Amino acid sequence: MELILLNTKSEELILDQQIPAEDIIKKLKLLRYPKTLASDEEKKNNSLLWPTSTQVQAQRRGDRWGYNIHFFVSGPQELTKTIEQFQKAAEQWKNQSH
Amino acid sequence: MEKPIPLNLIQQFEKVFIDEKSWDSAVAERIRTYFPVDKIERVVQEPFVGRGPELSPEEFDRSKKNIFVTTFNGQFFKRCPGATQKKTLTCCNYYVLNLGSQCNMNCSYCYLQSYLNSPVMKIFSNIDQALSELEEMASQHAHLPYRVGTGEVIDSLSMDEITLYSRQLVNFFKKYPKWSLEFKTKSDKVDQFLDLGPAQNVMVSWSINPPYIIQSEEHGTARFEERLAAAEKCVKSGFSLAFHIDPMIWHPEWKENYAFLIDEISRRFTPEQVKVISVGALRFQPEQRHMMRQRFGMKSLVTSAEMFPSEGGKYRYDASLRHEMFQFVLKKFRDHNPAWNLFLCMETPETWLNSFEQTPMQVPGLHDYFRPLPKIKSENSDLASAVKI
Ligand code: SF4
Repeated sequence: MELILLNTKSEELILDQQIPAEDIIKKLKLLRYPKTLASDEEKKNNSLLWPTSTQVQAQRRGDRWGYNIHFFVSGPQELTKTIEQFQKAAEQWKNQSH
Repeated sequence: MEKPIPLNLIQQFEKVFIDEKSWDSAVAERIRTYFPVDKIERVVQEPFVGRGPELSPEEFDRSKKNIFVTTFNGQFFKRCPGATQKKTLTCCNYYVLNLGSQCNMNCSYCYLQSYLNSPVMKIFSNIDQALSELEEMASQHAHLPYRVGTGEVIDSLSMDEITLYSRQLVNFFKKYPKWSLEFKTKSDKVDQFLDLGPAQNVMVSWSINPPYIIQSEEHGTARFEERLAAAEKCVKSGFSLAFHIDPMIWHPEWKENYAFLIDEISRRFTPEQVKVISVGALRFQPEQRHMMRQRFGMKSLVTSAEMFPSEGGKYRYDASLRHEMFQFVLKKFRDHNPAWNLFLCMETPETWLNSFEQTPMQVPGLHDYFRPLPKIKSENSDLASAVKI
């Protein structure tokens, strides 16, 4: 409804029945939050060097954009090394945002 | 001699309903003296009753044009609601004294749209009771820096030419120099109390935005220049000032426009005159969106803004955009003068740390605003009733 009230062109709002629901939602979000989602995409491209043992996914949670991180370690040395690598990633992130 | 109520203020209202319990009060007498007889009605209960639990946009609009003078039957003096959301917000020690509810101005983002459910603007006639509550509290804690504001659910001054409550409050606070009173306004109505200055513990504060935002979102409020001119008069008469750059509203030219605002404040005032400058970004309750859409359409910078649900439930801008906006304001003020006393209003601890690298208690000049003070009677009774349940 907000998109209609925002005078979004009707062609843009006609959605192909064949498109999966997830993609439709993505398209509608892009129409409603163009600036924020463009900036999210830009941030996604500034990739950071994460520790090798981690699975990292950039995501938006409400008003915050950030990384969802999973990692597995099997010993204290590995944990220490992973933390060091995280610290490097944090430095890199800091430098990118200045 | 008492100043009359100006005609342009009288003309804003369709009707004044006076509760018979309040008929002989000072404020009702003043209204009866200056309002035309056909605008006044004596009533035994709140008008426009028998609606649903929420106001429709039309009822909300009507509530701005109809006054109900009545008594308030409860505790006047309360802690600011922000302080009750301690988990998610960083809030200062602030107490509110509500001498009425609703507002005769019309900002698109106004939180009263999701807060009020009364079909009329209320003016409470029993200010004497409010003052005796304050007196009781002050007699126990006169030495502590309690801060009290009257602008939570009604603008502190926009209706003051009708009530003249500012005069009683200024006189009261002059007796307690450790306590401070804040009149928070978007009007320029200050002439009615200036003669009572100097009173440095009375702070007149303006919510302020650049002229472009005032023009597009703050309907019926005093213009940018009018607010600053009123602030200058207050300084001359010996009152202290505060500015609330809140809510900051994103728009393509936000940097130029907020820079202009900061330059003007810095050019016309000094950090000694302005006790505090708070900064906050647009936020609103989710349920408010529908009312705002219906009342202001989607052309408004508020309804069309890219807002996201935040911790605590309110809709806010993206956190990094908020951070950028706050950094911009803080830096710009500090470039003018590092002595400006700045703080973030209704923000999360994460945003505080990102912006100041300190919590409010650690920021010089803000310690008194955030250090815990003894609970007041109403807080203790809230606690007692919570335990009983
Ligand atoms: S001045 Fe304040 S209370 Fe009045 S409409 Fe604007 S935001 Fe609401």
